[in-house]
Amino acid sequence: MSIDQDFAEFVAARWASLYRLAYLLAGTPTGAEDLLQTTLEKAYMNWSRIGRMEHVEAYVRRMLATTIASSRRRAWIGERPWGELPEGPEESAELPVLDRSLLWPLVCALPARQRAVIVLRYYEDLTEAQIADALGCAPGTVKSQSSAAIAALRRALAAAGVGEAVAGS
Amino acid sequence: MNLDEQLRAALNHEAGMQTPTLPDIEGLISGGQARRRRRSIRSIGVAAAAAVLVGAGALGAMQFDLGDAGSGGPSNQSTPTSDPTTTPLQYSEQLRPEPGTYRKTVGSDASGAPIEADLTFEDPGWYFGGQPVISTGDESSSAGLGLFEATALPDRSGCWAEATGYTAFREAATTLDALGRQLAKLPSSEVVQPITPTVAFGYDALHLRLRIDAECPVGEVYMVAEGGGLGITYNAPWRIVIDFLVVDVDGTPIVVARWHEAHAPSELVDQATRVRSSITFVPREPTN
Repeated sequence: MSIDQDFAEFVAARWASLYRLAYLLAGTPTGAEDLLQTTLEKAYMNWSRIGRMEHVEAYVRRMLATTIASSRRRAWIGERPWGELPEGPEESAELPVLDRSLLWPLVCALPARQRAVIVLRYYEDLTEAQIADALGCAPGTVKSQSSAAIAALRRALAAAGVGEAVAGS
Repeated sequence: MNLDEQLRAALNHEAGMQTPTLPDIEGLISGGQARRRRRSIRSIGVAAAAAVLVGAGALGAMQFDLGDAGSGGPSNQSTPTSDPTTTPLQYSEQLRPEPGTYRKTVGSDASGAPIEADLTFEDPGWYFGGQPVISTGDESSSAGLGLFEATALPDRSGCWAEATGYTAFREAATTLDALGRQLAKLPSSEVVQPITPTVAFGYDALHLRLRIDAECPVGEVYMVAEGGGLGITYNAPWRIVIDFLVVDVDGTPIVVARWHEAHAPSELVDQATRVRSSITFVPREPTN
């Protein structure tokens, strides 16, 4: 099978799954298409290597995250973790079941890299170290980004009047 | 239900609502090919199959493969005046020069005046977008030339994140010997043929051949040097062989690099060699 055929088969089989991740990372359909196109074009360039990997899709999914993070890396320069922060699950307080249409726009409103951390953590179920690896940053940065994102979401939810517990936790 | 669970649910719900239609896969492939070409066009780089490399190394050890580069000419004398009607080669990602002679600005002298060189392409199929590159029909392998005045060289890994422009650089030396030594220590490189003084294109020069084996992370490319406002990069998953001539053009070291990919067929390398052998540096007008 030629490289082109192999690549085409992969894209055809995994497009929907990749698109969904790209959509969450980019926040809009057009952004998702752009991100996916850029990433797959890059993948194609190295397909002779990537196509032989054991976990091709996992690798391409990581490329999606790397690409979205890299496209905004300049904005990250100078950011630094602000000390030891508790792991996310311990921060979470019980909330009423939210209208999902309320939470997603708040996620979209997060800065791109915070959104990427949230998506990789809660959609891809990656560990802090895996996220750091995918985004090319230190685990401490992932932790600080995650905490900042969660705090921003809590503030936004509180502002929207969703649960006293949100604001108080 | 805590916020973590809410987020998981919301993200999965949002993702599940997306019903994307299949893309134009051929378009993706052609986009990938164009991207690869654009990178290669700005590039110096890529590798030679082991058999080719061994052969080239053995040959080079005896005669340095420089006969085609004018090594027999007198040192530090200008080459014959080239045809003033030659077409200038300007940066373009689309340019496919027809066979003929083209003029390229390759650096500038101490006064800021441009240093130019004429190159003759006898074979069709060359691309030009900063540096000339030729690929096999299926674009599975490439070869080419880089002509530039190096202003910076990579430090550390040499890998350069295309999207961010980030890499570690150090200033390039401005003398022939010092620049040659810097090139001999490019990251992830192995000296195949050590630095040897020679004469090339009618000027004093150094010859050096490197094999570079830099497996950069996806999204990054290996940058050989920065020069002329462009990063001289290559993107290849395998080793490359770069045959450097560092030429002292009236006090300015100009790098002439012929490169080829690991699996590049010898005909492709020969095509690059033919263009290198055609190079003539354009004598500058006397200043009075």
